[in-house]
Amino acid sequence: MSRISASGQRGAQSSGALAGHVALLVSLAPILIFSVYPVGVLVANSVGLGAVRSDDGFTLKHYEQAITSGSVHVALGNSAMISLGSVAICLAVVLPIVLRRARPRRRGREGVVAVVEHAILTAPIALPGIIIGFFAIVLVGRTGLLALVWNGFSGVAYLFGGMLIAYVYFSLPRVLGPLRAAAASLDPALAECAGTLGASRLRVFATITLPILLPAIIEACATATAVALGGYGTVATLSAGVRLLPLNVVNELTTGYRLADSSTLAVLLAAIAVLSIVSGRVLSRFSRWAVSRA
Amino acid sequence: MLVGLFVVMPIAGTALAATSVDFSQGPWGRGVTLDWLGYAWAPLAPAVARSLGVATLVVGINLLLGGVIAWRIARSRSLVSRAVGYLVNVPLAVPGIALSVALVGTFPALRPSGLLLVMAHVVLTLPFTLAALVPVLADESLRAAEEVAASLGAGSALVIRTITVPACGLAIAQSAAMVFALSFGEFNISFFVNPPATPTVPFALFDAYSTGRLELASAQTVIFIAFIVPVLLAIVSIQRRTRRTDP
Repeated sequence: MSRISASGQRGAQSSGALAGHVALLVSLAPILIFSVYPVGVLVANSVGLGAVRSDDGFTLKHYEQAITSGSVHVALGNSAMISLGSVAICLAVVLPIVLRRARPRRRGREGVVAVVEHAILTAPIALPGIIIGFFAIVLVGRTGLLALVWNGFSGVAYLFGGMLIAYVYFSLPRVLGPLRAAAASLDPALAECAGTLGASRLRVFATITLPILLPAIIEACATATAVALGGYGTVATLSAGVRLLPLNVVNELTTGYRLADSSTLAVLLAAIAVLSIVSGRVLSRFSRWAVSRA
Repeated sequence: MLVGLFVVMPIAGTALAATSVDFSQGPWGRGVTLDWLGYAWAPLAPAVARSLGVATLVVGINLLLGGVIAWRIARSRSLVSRAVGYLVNVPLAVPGIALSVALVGTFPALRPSGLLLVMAHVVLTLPFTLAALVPVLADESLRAAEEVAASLGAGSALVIRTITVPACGLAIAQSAAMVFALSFGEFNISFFVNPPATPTVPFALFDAYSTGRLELASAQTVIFIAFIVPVLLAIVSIQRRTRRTDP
């Protein structure tokens, strides 16, 4: 009797599992068709095998063109400097804020001020890049608000410095969010304990807080760099200024429909972004390992 | 404090420009006016309606597909479900503009109907839904409650309706708000898949930025921010409530 019911249950379980697999397959199919598959087609297009078939099949000529192009070099250099620079500035600004809020006596007190502060600092994440570019025009464009205060600010939005500040605005919540979460999981007793044993605040920071936060810092910065690198909206609004790599990707399609060239640059842009994220993960793991052994 | 000022100043500046008669004469140059906001609303209204529709549709499809995928990832530790977790996160790693080129190069015929835009937004926002739903669905006490209900004779539909979905309530609300906000302001992945004749709000804004007067463009931006602020407040308040219910 019991054996029969047990086998019946097993039968019900396996049919349940089958239904689960079917449900997963049905919901996953549209997602993969519109994400992973197009990325595959993108790569195929860039080597002359996809929708844009080249006469002699597989070719790397689009990559050769891209890699030897002067305008791509300039854009790539600018993109690297803007994305790395803006994230570095964000980290320098955000780290003291996160540490101050993680200090023991501040904890548990989540007043209205803290909520408003949190809402204000995370707000830019909901703003599309084009609006952040427009902010730069409103403040330091040719007739911007700050240009009225001092004429030297006029037109800064289209220079390297202005673009850098716009991307700092863009990256700020993307660095702040993960670091705030990491700092919230810090055990305040550790720092407190070191403090009562006579360690200076600098020493507590260097020997306790920083090593614990380091993996999160590395990972957050690498991801934010990748997002800034691929961010098109901000530079699209400020396209009269400094050239960044996403502009080249778009230009290949909007000025004459050169799908293969555009796909090639898109693949390169994506490869650099993925490389940034992956190396962030690896370095973060490594630092966690190194800290745990030290 | 200074950082807060850095974040707020451009928004305040844009609001100033939107209410100035002539911004090139300084803030509130030649007086204060609400005319720009009125002029901005008329052409923006159809785009707002379109964006609200797209965002609602995206939230619906997202929760439906994302709910099933999250449920499978949370409940099975197999290699397949871990691989699915990675594949679904592809749009987080690949820049939006690259995905846009990929999508238009693969499905150009789906662009005019707007189907490509909706699916692009679904794909882009799905990782956020999964990030919110998977930990809740993987919770041991929820699984125990489901098993108790099932052992008492409740069918799986009844268990899902009365136990699983209520337990995920906050996570569902949070993903819905987040997905709505992301879709409403999405520009990058939309750039080549957006039906050109019927722009969404970000494209109406982009058009104003490249052609319109600064005051008019500012007024349109202010209207966009007015739509996004309630969603943002909802996200923050849900996050606070989630933290409070956590032990």
